[in-house]
Amino acid sequence: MTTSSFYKWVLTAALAVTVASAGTSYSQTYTDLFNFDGIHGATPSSAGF
Amino acid sequence: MLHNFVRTDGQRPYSGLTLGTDGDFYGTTYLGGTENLGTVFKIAANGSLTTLRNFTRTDGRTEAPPIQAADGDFYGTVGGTAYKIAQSGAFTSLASLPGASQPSPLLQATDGNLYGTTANGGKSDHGTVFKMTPDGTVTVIFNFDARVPGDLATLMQGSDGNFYGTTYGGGDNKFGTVFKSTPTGAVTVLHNFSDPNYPNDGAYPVAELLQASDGNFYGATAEGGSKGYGIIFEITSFGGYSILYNFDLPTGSQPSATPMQHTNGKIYGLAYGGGTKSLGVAYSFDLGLPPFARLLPVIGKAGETVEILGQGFTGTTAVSFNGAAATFNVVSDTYLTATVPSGATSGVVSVTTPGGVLNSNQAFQVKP
Repeated sequence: MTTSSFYKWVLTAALAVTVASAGTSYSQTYTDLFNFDGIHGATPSSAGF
Repeated sequence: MLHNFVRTDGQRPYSGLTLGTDGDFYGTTYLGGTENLGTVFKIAANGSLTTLRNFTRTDGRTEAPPIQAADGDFYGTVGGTAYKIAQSGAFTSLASLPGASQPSPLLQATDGNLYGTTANGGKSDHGTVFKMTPDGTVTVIFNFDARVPGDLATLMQGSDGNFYGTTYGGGDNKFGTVFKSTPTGAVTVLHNFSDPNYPNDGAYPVAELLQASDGNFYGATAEGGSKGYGIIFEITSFGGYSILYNFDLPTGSQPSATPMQHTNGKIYGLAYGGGTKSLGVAYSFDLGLPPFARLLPVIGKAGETVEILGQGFTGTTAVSFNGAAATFNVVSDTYLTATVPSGATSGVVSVTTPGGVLNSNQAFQVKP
């Protein structure tokens, strides 16, 4: 297997793994786990990062 | 609480942290340090902080954390420059970037190169997506333009090898976009925010996208939604789009940090505002995705050790690499190590626990 064909296989295999579970119906639940209070930090922001 | 910054060792740590293979966390501050222009630091799990670089006027400013590349060294962006911090702590200015405004964190793609974005520079000075080799050769692979400017553009690599990101503004409705770029720079806009086809759509995404274990991408916008405080959305690699959650003041608002997926399947994130104190919240979002195993690293040779994160590992009876049985050592209920078996082929790694079989969210790639 050449290097390029190996990486092509890698990408295909990775996609296959992630797509395998697509199409499932999900329930969705939002939970606020911790409310920042100014003592333990406030306004958490990673500037998108 | 591990560390309270004082001005001399940094101030306003806007960036997230990168966990290094040495067990320390690496980050940056926007202000503070000897020049009050920010720092790069590392902090141990016990809170001991070491300043690795005091940024100067020559360096510029950064809000992005450094990343650790496969060679073990750390790479980051500051102002219009990419820098490298060797594992010894030595700082090197590595290359000039195509723009100096809002350089994103770098990401190391599967081709070994480092990729990032800038908000200015490029053909029309609306920013770029660039590629940099580990030795510092920079190439622009895509130029943002007036229609889709690169303001606060984020970038991550999907499992299909393409890059996915968001722009804060621009697009058909001027409220930001989700875009997809091939490694050679062919860009497709997957979604224009405040899309009239999706009533109460989100606007102004700041957070980077997350590709979850179902292969779909998840993100958050800082504004828009039915309450005006942002949304969580889902988007496929082909642009299939859904609004999943509308943020609201009582339970968290205006998310700007990138969400992550725990091996328990749930998504976790931070909201900048709202909550009981109006100072933000940490939240979880359960899509109903099953638990999985995370591999560190996802590529290696037979005989090498792979770290596996998950849960319920106590009492594990088998680990296999694409069906080939591996020797393993359970270190804790959430962590085990396994040896890539001789003759193993690339594919899913499975861990048989008393509670069931956990499959890896990525295929392990056995190097030839």
